[in-house]
Amino acid sequence: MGMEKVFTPIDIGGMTLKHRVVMAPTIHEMCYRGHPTEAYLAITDTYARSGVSMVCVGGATIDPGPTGDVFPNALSIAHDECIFGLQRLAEVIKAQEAKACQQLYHPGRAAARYWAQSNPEMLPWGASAKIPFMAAPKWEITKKDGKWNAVNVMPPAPVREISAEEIEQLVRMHVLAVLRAKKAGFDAVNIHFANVTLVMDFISPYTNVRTDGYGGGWENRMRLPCEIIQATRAAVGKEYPLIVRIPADQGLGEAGIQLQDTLRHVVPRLEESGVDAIDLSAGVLDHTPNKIIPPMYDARGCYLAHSEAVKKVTKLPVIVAGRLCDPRMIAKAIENDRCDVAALSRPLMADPLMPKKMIAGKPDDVRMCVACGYCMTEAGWTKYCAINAESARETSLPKIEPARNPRKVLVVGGGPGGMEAARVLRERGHDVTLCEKEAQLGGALRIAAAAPLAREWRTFTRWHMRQIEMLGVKVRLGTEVTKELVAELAPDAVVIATGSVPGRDVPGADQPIVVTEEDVLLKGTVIGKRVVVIGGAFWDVETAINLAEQGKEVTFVRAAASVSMNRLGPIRALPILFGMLQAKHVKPLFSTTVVAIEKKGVRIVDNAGNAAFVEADAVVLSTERVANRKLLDELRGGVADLHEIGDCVKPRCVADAVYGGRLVGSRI
Amino acid sequence: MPAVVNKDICNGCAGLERRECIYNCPYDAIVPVDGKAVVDKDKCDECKICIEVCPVRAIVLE
Repeated sequence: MGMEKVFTPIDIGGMTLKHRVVMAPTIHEMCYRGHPTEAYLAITDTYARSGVSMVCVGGATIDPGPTGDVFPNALSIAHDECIFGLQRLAEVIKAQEAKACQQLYHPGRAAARYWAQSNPEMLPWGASAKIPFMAAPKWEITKKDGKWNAVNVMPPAPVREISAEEIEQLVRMHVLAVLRAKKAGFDAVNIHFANVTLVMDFISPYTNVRTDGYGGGWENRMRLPCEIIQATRAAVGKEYPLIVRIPADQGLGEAGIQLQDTLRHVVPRLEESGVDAIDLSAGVLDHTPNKIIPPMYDARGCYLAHSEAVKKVTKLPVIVAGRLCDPRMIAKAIENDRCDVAALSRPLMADPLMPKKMIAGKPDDVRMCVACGYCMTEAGWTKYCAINAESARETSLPKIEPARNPRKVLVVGGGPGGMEAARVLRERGHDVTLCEKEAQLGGALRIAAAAPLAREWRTFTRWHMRQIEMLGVKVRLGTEVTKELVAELAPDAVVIATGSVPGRDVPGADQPIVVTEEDVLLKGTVIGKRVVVIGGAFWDVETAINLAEQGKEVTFVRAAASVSMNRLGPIRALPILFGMLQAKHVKPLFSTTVVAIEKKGVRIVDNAGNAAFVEADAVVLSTERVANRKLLDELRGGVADLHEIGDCVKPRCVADAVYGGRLVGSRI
Repeated sequence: MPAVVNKDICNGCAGLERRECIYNCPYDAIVPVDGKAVVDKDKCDECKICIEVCPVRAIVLE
C-alpha cells in the first residue's frame, strides 16, 4: 500500500484530519457515575495510540436526570462537574496527535432500560407515547408463602410524549453539552441522532405520531434536529466542527427511516442547518440491534452502499462504520469514493494497531475483527474482545515483556487458546513447541468456521498461524501428545489446551445413525436425507442451517427454550437466525428433550409432556461439549510447571480460551 | 467457500457505468471473462461485498 487516498488529509469544518481512518463513537460502560475511570482512560489511550486520525469518545448522556440514564456505567456530559473527566479523555487522545471528538446524546425511550424499573411513576421521554421500549430486562424478586422466587423478565417499558417546554429544555441540554465538550478541549463533537436517541425518535415516522409542529411530515419531524444544530451553532460559532450521526436506515422497512428518506429528507435539511459532516449508522437499539452492530453473517463493509448513496446528495464529508475490519476494504472504499472517512470500532478492539499496520503496508498482520459481538454483550459493554484478550484489560493484564529466564515450553493443542499461549510465550523469548493431534491448526474454531454462517472465525486461525510461524514456534501437526512424549521432550513447562469433545450424554448415543458435528462438517461423513440435529453447543443452529442448505430435511431439537446466547446476546441476530431456520425449512423443536436415540429415529418429549417419535436416517450431535482432560489427568503430579487453559478446563467460548492463553503466556 | 458467480444470471452489469463486483472487490479477485464476472478462488477472502453490491444477485458463497 502506497500513498493512497485513504492516507490523504481531509477537512471537517475547519479541523484537518491527517488521514481518513478514525475511531467510531462507541459506548463504553467503563465510567463511575458518569465520570471516566482509569480503565476507560487507559482504553482510550490504546485507541489514541492505534494511529487513527481522530478518536470519537462514545455517547455521553446530556440529561442529568433519570430520563438521561441508559447504561449505568456510561459517560455523562450532563453537568459542569463532568468537564474534568472529559478534559482528561481529550488530553489522552490529543497527546497522541489524534483529534479528539466527543459524542453526546439524549437516550429518550432507552432510559427505560434500567431506571424505569424502579421509578414506574417517572416515565422516560419519548417523541410519542406510541412505542414503548422493547428490551428492558428486569428481575422480579418476590416472596410468597415464605419462599423467595426470582425471575428475569423483559416487559416493554412505557414512555410518555414530551411537551413543548420539554422540547426546549432538550435543545438547551444539547447546546450546553456541546459547550462542555468544547471547554473540555475536544476538537469536535458528534451529535448522536441515531440508534438509541430521542432525536431519532422524532425523525422517525415509527416513533413520532405527534400532532404539533414536531410531528407529521418530514418538514416537521426534521424540525427538532435542525433546531438543535441551529442553536448549537449560535453558541459555538462557525469554527467548531459539528458532526451528526444519523441512521441511514433503521431496518424497520416502510415503518421507519429508510435510505431513500435519508437521501431526500434528512441529509439535505441537516446540511442546510449547518452541520460539518454526516456520520452514518443504522438500526434501532431495541428493535434492530443487529443493524447497529452487524454480525458476522453480514458482509464486511456492509454500509458502504449507504455512504456511497449519501455522498451523491451532499457536499459534506461522509463518515461510515460497519464491519470495516480489513485495511484493503477501507483503502478500496475510499479510493472508489464510496465514503470519505472510515470509522472503526470493533476492528480497533480486535487489533488496536490496525491503522498503524495499515500505514506500514502490513494488512496481513492485522488481527481482523470477526464481528462475533462479544464486546457488545449484555454482561456489560466493557469492550472485552473475544480474540484480543488485552482489550479493556489495559490496567490488569501483564504486558508482553521479554522473559527473564527463557525456558523450554510445550503447548498441547492448537486451538485458539493453545495458539495464543504459544504466540505470547514465543514473543517473550521462550523456546516453544506446539503439538496438535489433527493435521491442521484451529481446534474447535475449525468446526465453527465450517458452518458457512460462521466462516469469519477462520480469519482468526489464519492470523494466529501466521504469527506463530513468523515468531518461530515449532509446530508439530498430527502429533497426539502422550505422557511418554512429554518425558521425551522434557519441557520446563507444559500448557494443556486439549479442548473439548462433543458431549455424548444422550441415551442411545452409540446407535449407528449417530454422528457428531465434527464428522459432518469437517470429516465429510456422508449421511442420509432425514436428519435430527440435537443442539446444545454454541453453533448448533448454524450447523442445522448448514445441513439444510445441503438439501437435508432437518429437525432441530434443543432442551432450552431458545438458542444459546452465551454472552453474545445482543447481536446473535435472533430474527435473522429464526428467519433462516424458516427459509431453509428446518423444523425447530425448542424446550424439547431427547428421551432416546433409536435405530430409526429419535424419541422426544416436550416440556408439556407430549411425547413423539421423529424418524431419521442420521442424528447429528451438536450437544454441549465436554472437557478433554485425559492428558491433564495423566500428567498431574508428574510435571512441575503444568498449566491448563481453554475448553479442557471447562467448555466455554473462544474469548475464555484466548484470555487463558494470553494470561498463561505472560505467567511462565 | 469463496464467492462464485452464476453465469446464467450475471449480465456483466450491462447498461451500468461500471461492473460493481469488480469495482468493489478489495482483493482484486474478480475479473471479466467473456463479458461476465469470474472469481479467482485463491484471491477471494469471502468478505461478501460482491454479493452485497451485485445488482442482479448473481453471486453466492460456494
